[in-house]
Amino acid sequence: MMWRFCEEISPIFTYVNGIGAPPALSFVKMFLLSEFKKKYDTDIASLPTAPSVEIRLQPGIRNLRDGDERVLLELLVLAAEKLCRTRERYVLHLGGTDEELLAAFRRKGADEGDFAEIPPDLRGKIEALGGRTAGGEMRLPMPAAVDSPAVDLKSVVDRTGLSDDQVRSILKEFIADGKRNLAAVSGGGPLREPAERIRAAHSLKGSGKSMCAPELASAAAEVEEDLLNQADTEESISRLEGVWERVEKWYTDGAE
Amino acid sequence: MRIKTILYAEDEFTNRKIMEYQCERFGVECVLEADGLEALDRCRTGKYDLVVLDQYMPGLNGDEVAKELKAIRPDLPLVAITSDDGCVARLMESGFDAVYVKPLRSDDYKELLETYAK
Repeated sequence: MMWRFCEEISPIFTYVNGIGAPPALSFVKMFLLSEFKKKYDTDIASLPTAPSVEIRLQPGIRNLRDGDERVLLELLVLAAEKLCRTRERYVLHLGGTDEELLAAFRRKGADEGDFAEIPPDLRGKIEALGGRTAGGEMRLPMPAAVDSPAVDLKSVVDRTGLSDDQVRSILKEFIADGKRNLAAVSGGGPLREPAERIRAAHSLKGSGKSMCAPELASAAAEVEEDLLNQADTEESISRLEGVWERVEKWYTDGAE
Repeated sequence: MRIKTILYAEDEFTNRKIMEYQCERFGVECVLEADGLEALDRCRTGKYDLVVLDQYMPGLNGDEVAKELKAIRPDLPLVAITSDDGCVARLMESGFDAVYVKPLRSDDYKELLETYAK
């Protein structure tokens, strides 16, 4: 996710999307409005300096992902703390490139002079949330609730609309697949090509997300990134193995 | 009314199974593949109302399959499902009609199947 500051460009909660407005955006808007009111006991529109949050999906993307709402809320809270004192507006851009964002704002009359680097104090707050920064891009990790199950089957049911039985029917193969992928990542078994290890980490990340196992997804993502960057993987693989151990224990303990 | 048929290519079991169940929910037939090259071969000979592709797969990646398909079947709706939102622009340039980022919600599956499996 990348974001920039932009002055006087758009009205409150403007949505820009390449192809229509996905239902998820309406949900995000309502969520942000209600969370802001709960947090500050006031409506955004009544603030003396009207804040603006433009949420733009990259053209082509049709949906938001789990965890995006929390990230947006965290950023909105940070924005609100600043916005009461300044006329700055915050743009949250989910996906995409700087060039696309600049092009979108040029069409609305902005130029590069309207953009500023993220101020150090806000950058620090983002990093305190656990995000890592690389250039202008910040990636925030998916949050893992304290004492949450290793795999949150209820969330899978809630998110997918499938039945509990259907979701549980996937578990056995999810575990078997996970073991195979972990072996490939760790380098156990036959000698593995780097591409194979990367694909295995990528699969673990994907299955972790699909099965609401955020720690697994996060740990696998770190390994994938280290492999792609040809960095040392000892620490990240060790963490992944620890997380997987917890997943297997949860499964053998009855998967509740 | 003829039941629609989609081809879903994804190398990860969990996502294949979830899509299979979603297709059952929405009355769509689902053919599954775990390899991009095999998915492309199936598309050359089979009749599908929609092809849904993961990006990173053995054989051929989703964008490579899409480019081949657009050349031989320009009318065939193509949707990508990826966990990498950094490659969305590349996917759209490859010929996809839409991109969904993982993990999908129930409404996303409904929208995908009802909108693109015409």
